[in-house]
Amino acid sequence: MAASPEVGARGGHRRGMSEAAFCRFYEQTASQLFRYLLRVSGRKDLAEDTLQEAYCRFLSADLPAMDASQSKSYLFRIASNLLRDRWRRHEEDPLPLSPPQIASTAPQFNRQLEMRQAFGRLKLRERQLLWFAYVQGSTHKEIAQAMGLRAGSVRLLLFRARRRLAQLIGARHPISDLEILK
Amino acid sequence: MSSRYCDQERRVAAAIGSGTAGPEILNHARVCSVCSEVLLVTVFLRETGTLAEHELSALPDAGSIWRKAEAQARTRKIAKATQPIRLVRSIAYVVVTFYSVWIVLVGLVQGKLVDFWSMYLGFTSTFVGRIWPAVLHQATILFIFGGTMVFLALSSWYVLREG
Repeated sequence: MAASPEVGARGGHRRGMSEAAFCRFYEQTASQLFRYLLRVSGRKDLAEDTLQEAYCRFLSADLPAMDASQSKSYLFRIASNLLRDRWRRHEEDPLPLSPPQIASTAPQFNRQLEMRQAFGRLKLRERQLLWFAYVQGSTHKEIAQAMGLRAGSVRLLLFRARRRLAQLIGARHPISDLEILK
Repeated sequence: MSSRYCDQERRVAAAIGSGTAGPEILNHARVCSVCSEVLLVTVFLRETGTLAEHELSALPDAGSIWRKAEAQARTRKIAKATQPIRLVRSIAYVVVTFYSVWIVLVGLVQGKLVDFWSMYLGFTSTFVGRIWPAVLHQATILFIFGGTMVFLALSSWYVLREG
């Protein structure tokens, strides 16, 4: 993501961000954040609410000047905390997964549906960890910061989450079936 | 290389993610149990992570979020500005409740009911007069007046300080 010089500059609006700068930052980050929230929570309404609240909190936070990538990390941290809090509130009333809305063609439908079901069987923290590590490509340190974990524990937690998901999907889709390996 | 971790993990994930996985990485993933898991999970997560057009259309407009944030900030400012008022009001409720009870008790003591209760409880209005001497009333009035002045001064200072 290209660094926006207006992000984090002091003066003017909250956090020194003008409305135009915020709109640019939003365009750069919103779809990534929404994708994360939607796939990790499995609920569209929750993802939409959390996204809006995360940006509102981001705008109202009084922080030192940041570059675009730090701002993005901070935004994901807010969103992850919000998602965890909201998830805890619904723990006794489990959140059903939204009906699958698959972006791909029909032959891939079942495969993606199974994958989402397998992903949904993991704990929220496991899903967050896997997403940060293998979709966002975050380092262990960045994951620890975003999720409020100790950097040293990320490795083990990530290993456990990865193994669990690999077992869940590997039973139906062995690695030898992957197109990329053929 | 342990059965849990591999030095090539991040390299494999990054290559799959960027679509630049060459034969070297893929061959390694075939033989390494850790990296084969990484490969499997990364491929599936990336496949499932794609958003459909209609899902993206659910994204709210940046302007509406900006306005919502401004409205929230305004609400917070109002709540902060009116904090002294709410504080003084709460104190006033406590004071009013306390003195209402006190007035009712004094009224009961001086009224007819007191005779019944005095007999029942075994004390007389003379005794009650002793525990509520006239000098206490003056002291109480002075205390209330002084307290009010202190709270007025404190709340004025707080409001001016915020301004």
